Amino acid sequence: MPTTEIPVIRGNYFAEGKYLKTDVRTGVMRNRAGTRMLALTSDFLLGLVSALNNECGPAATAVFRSCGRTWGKRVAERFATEMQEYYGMPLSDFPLSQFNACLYEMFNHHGWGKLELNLDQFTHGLIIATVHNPIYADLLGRADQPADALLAGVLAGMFSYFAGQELDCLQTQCQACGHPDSKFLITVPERLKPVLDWPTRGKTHAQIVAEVQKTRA
Amino acid sequence: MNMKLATIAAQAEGRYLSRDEQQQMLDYAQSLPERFRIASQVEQKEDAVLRATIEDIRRKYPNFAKYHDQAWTKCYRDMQLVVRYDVHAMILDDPKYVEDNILYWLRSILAGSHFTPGFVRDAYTFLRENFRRELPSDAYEGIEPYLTHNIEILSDFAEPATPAV
Repeated sequence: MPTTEIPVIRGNYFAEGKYLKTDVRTGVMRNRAGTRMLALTSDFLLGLVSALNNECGPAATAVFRSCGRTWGKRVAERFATEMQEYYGMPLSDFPLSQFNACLYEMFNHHGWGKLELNLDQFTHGLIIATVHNPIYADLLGRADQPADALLAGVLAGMFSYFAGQELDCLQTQCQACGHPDSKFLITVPERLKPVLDWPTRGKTHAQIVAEVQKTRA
Repeated sequence: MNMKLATIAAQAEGRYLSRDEQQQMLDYAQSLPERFRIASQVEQKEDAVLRATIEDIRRKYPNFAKYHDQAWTKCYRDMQLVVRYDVHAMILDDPKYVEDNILYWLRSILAGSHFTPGFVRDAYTFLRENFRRELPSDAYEGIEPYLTHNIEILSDFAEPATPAV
């Protein structure tokens, strides 16, 4: 059975024990590609929310989304580089299932939560991301509005990079609001614009998706 | 480091190892030649077992190759990688080693490729049964828990809406 005609496959790039190495002599933690890493505590993350809320008031959510978007683009760029180096082919040549599996593992191992992508409506220009145990919803425990604006921004930035065009992301459901998981809708900004305030108006994920589906891809 | 050895060392923090802990480490060290022997036997039989397994899958799922480009070559490659991780895990005496290094990640790929849990269960059961046939019984006993673990972990996902097997 020849194995030279197809790309050689390797295991999980993000596997524990191999992905992160800390040099305690220098106080430097790096991932296996040499990128310097830092673990952030719950106190830091909650302090960041508190500080931004105090400084920006109602604009804090927009600031989080904007920061997340910039961050997400850089994360995606680094992800593409590292995946290419490790698996020996450009990310654009990855089978979709392998791309997803690597993305899931990155989310898991970085502590963002457990990501699932629903691409059933991809051809209609919609991606639905479900995240179990997303970081801010988990830290806040209970909230009356979606709590993961930073993650929504990160997803928007990442998928903008992957798609090669500007995309936006709206959190449509939040674990901190009593749901079993958090959901995010990713599509072009003009399709999300009419529904940006729907989550805070009590509209459900299904209602928001249905409304966006009515608009043209 | 082997997880059991690392756990013993962690539990003995700030004190010397007890006789029991020393014995556990010695037992593991003394088991290494046998583990290497099993690894060598698996290596020798790997190609024959994988070829037989692919034939078994081909017979049970004749349409599989219609859904996937270079289906059998990729199937062989993926199973070969899993077996090699199994052997590492067996040498380390650490079933968890294989989970994060390959199984969870590969399961996401299999689910994303619209494989069915039944297909994956059958495929990795064929793999185990072919090793049972090819290996001496003591070598099979050494690798069997890892081959069974593959079946349990890899087939644990939801049925796809549009199966491709």
